[in-house]
Amino acid sequence: MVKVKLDNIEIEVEPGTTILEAAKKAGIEIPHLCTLEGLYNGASCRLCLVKNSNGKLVPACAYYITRDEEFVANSPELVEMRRINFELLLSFHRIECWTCDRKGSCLMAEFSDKLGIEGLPVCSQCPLPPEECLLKKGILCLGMITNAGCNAECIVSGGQCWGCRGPITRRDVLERAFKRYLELGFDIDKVLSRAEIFWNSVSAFKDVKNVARKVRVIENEKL
Amino acid sequence: MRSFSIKLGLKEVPGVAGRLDVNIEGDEVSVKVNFGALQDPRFFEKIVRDRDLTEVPYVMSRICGVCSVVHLTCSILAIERALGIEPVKNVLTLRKIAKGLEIVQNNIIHVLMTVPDFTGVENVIEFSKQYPSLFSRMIELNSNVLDVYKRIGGRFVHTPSIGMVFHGKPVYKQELESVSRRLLDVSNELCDLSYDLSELWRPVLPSFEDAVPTYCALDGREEYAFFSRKLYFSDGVCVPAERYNEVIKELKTDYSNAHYTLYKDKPFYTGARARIQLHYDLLTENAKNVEKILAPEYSNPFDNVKAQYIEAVYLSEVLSSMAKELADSIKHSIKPFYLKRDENHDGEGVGLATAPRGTLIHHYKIKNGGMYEANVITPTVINARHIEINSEKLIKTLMDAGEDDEKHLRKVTEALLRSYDPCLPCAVH
Repeated sequence: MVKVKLDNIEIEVEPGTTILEAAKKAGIEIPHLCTLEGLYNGASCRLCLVKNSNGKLVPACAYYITRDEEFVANSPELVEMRRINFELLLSFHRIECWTCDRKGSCLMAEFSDKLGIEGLPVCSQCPLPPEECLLKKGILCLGMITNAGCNAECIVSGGQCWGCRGPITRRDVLERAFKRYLELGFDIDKVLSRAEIFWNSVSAFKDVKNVARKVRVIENEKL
Repeated sequence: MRSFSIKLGLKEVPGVAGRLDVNIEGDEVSVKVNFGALQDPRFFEKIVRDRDLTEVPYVMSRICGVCSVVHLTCSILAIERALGIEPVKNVLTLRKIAKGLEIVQNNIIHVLMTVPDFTGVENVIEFSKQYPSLFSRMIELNSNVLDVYKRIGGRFVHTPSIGMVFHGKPVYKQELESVSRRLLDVSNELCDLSYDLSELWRPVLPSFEDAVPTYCALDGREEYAFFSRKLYFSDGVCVPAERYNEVIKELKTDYSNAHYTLYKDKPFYTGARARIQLHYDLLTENAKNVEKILAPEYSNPFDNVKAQYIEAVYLSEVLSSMAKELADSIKHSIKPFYLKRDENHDGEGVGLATAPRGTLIHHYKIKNGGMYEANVITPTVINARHIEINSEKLIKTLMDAGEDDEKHLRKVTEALLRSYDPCLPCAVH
């Protein structure tokens, strides 16, 4: 057995145990995306970075403990590091929460909320399954183009999203969202008019309008 | 008669929301009070112009965060009337319960806010220290009502579930039954508390009467009027909603950003005192008991708080039986449904609703499916002139009786303002 100290909590583990497994035993939460217990530990998401006694960053899921060692698992510096890594991962993620099957059990949405990162739409926190989407019933909801972080409070209460948390700024997400609005038969002008209620003084609203108009032109040309 | 002259200004009144400027000037011949709302105008009536009709209620509910439900429901009602559509009975009942709960919650909070006036305690914090159990029971009642509201409408502030013709939140039979039980508990607790409160109650100014005893409420002679199609005045005049502007004149002053209203060229009062007087025969046994304990004088503006308390007891019982009836009439749950409407409709509709502070009027003209013109008359707008003339009478009565302590005059005038519970952001919409 070897002794390992995680955030000043000392536990004994078998040699060859990963830091992630040891942390689990010690009741310490280390966020991770790519590791599936017993199946895969690719050390590719870099969210589980911890610091060893030499000040070196190591992935908790792929570092095997062989001797007595000490690690820092949670510190403001590490949280910042995780934020940066998560933002990079999110920038590659094809955000289309409104039709995603993992809606409701999405780790991306969970970490985004925990780490306070904006970029996912309200749909990521919406309790309605894709087939129950309000847009499909003809109710104009701004969830697709609004920043998450409110736990979809209005939709939970039985209403629709009014966009009070401000617009999504990623162009590709906006494009997909407006395409979806058109597919479902919504008038883009009405969507923008609704968005205007909360976003009229938001500088990013200008970009949203540009994207919306561009999408409308492209979709009209296709027809 | 003793000669006197007075000049008083009230810039801040604790417990009254918003910025106000009350100027009191006078001598033994006459006293002049100007009740000015200094809140910046927010142009809600103009903001909604040309907007899609589904957006209007949610914009209008932002007039007030404290009584957002009544603005929301009244706005929806006006649109529904303009479009000639009506919600199904269950949806209407849920809407009534939601609005009733708001009145109960507002009334409880108002009693708490005015507690220093009728107990002689310096302020609410001091009251919480002197009477901790009474205070915590009142606070608990408030959170109970808010919790019950959550089950019916979801979020309390700017409720997203109440919409045109629909109620967006599914409501289950069991939930309704529990709501009914909990509201009965609220009513019983209010009855119990009334004994403790009546012991503390000392009248601010006994046997003071309204300068103009004209009252207005919604016509609810058969059942409590959450919404109504008629306005009822204490002189027996009953006016249909559509003709409200024939009897109520909305005017502007140069010292206030809010309008004021007149009925037959005279100020009139709207609020709990008017409602209780109109619904007196409908009061439940518990409410009548509380009425006997508190013994309000309905012509005394300071007793508005007592009327609000009685109303809270009565309403929580009425809402409890409404929830029970609704629960009995459904099999499992009330599911949300949505109605498609004619996009290019023209029309005109007036929504009348009972707000915690009085009668609320929303009047809309619709052209080509969009909002063309909107007019909102809030209870504080209706009461503005009534507050002025009652303050004038109050100052004159006190001065004639030999009172010249400025501090005391200020305190009593503040108490009078608080008893009306004016909401200045609402008045300046």
